[in-house]
Amino acid sequence: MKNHKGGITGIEYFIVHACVETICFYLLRLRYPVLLAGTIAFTFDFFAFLPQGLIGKFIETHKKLPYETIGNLLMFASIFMVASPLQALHVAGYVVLGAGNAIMHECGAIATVTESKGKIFPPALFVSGGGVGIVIGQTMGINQVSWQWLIIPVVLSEVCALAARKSVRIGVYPKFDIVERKFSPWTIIIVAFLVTAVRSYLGYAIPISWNKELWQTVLLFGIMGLGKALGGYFTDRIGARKTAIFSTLAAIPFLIFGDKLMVVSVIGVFFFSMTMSITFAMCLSVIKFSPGLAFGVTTAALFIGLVPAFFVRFNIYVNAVMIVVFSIVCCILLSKTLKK
Amino acid sequence: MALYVILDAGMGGLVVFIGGGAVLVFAIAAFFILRASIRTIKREIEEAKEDDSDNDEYAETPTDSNHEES
Repeated sequence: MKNHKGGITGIEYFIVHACVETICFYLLRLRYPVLLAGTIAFTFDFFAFLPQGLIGKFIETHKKLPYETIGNLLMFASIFMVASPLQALHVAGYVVLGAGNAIMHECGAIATVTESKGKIFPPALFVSGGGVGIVIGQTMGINQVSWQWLIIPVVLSEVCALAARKSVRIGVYPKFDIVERKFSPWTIIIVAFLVTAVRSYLGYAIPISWNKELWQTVLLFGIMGLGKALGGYFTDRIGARKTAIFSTLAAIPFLIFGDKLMVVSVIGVFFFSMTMSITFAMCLSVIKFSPGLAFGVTTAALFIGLVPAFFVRFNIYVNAVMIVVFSIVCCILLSKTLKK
Repeated sequence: MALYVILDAGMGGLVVFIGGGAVLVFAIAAFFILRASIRTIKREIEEAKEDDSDNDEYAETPTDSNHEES
């Protein structure tokens, strides 16, 4: 029986996620003086990624608050703070933006898992919307489009999020069971955390070394989003283990060309992005009653994977070695911990 | 005193001073967030284990057959 409700919720939150990232990446591009670029990005990523698990758990246990509206209002307020001529407000604006982003992400994770009927594709569809938003937001920001246009994604995000409002509050979640039971839950969480951190590093930190033109940015994040959605689709169709082994190994030959042939290495990013659904489903398999918290494990790992990029850069040879070693390690870990 | 130290250090010193302070603040905040997250995950895992063992109990308990007394 087809899961129409799951698909509809996935599409609703695909749109929400696209709108959220449009706003975020427009504002990140708007105030990007070279001196503070790293600080701004780090501050935003810190508040957007790290506390999501706790925010998700709070949402699940305190259902009455209008989180969707709160998240969108925070993002709306941050637009004025970041666009303000008062420089003192800018960093605070990014903190508010990150908090709003985190709330919307958690609503999306909870809603799509609730309606998923145990399939990972609806949450994967929700996550893949981010790639579209990043592309649109960066394009708008780089071209200095007037910030007043951001009212459109704010309103669209609110409408779609409210349409899925009930799904966030049902409180009953389907079972995910893709991991081998012989491993302890903490082993599974650590493996999922490590693989996600590696994916974050490979997908964000290494491409930072590219001097990206706009079309390359569009390609990178568009491909990343597509990989995430397809990873969910194939996980449901052929199984998590097969998808994981294929995607981690297939990524290696393409990622090795990281620095010189960007278009080729983007294919590697596409393959590795397919593991996103798998790591989320792994967390859902052990954190059974809190999809918000399970999602927070993966977002915390995304942040940890990004941190090295803010402090250290490696040359292409070291990057190539890291790509091969990390990808093989991830393949082995996933093949051992996922059910045959 | 602090003002003279900052003036002596110059802009570069100020950036290091404030930047170092900011890194410390982030590190402490990250520690507390991660600690709270790990504790919450621990609770959830224990809850899931209890649920699994409850299900196992129900599976093992033999069902009573209803005997109709004549």
